[in-house]
Amino acid sequence: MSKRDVSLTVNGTVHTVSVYPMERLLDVLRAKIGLTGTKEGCGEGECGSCSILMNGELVNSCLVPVLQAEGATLCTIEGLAGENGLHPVQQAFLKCGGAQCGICTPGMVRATVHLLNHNPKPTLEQIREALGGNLCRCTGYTRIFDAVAEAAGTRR
Amino acid sequence: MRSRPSEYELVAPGKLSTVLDLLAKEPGVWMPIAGGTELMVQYGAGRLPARKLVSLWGLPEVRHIECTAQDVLIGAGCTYTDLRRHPIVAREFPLLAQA
Repeated sequence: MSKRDVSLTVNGTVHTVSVYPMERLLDVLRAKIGLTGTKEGCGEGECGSCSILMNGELVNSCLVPVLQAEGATLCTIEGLAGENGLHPVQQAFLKCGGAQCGICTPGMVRATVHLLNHNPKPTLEQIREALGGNLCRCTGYTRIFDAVAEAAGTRR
Repeated sequence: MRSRPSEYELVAPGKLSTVLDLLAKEPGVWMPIAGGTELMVQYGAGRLPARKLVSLWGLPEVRHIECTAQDVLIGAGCTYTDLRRHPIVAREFPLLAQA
């Protein structure tokens, strides 16, 4: 099988990369496009560290053959912070200490933004459900959930 | 041992009729895939025997959930999220929606 060109829109920029169709989207983002904010945890869809948005849906980029992302609109962690600094969810993680080793953090932040876009005032149960696909090996969940509530303006 | 992407062929014809033509022309050669939740785990572990794969991703004809009084028909291109969000699936088959 030979390589072919695949075009991806990542954080608003179109990238055309020469890839094998079965390369993992995660590897293409990191090695070909140079966006290393998306992390590999388990590499088998269990941990959510490689979570990104693909056409508005949260996906594990380690489970997506790159050809299936052709023409898709992708948003990675690098697309969150703007000219005025960190995204409010990133600010909340910083304020609440919602990051320890940091490997899960980009996925946690992406999952949180996705949650708050659909449900701006989630309950704790809804936060736990929405982040259920994202594992923190440091087990710092309490502060992570605090950070989500902080970003939603519901932290007590 | 990880798989080598260069050893796998994946095509995405983008039209159901083209996919069906391919499957008819070379029976048993091409494995239809849609997404990668199970597939990419096998692939990552070097245990994916099929080497020629055809993508059904993005074909609207296979991404549907149809409900009648007797049946629920779930298209091969549905995602878990589609199932989780579908009100009738969630009401009538809660274990499937939560699985």
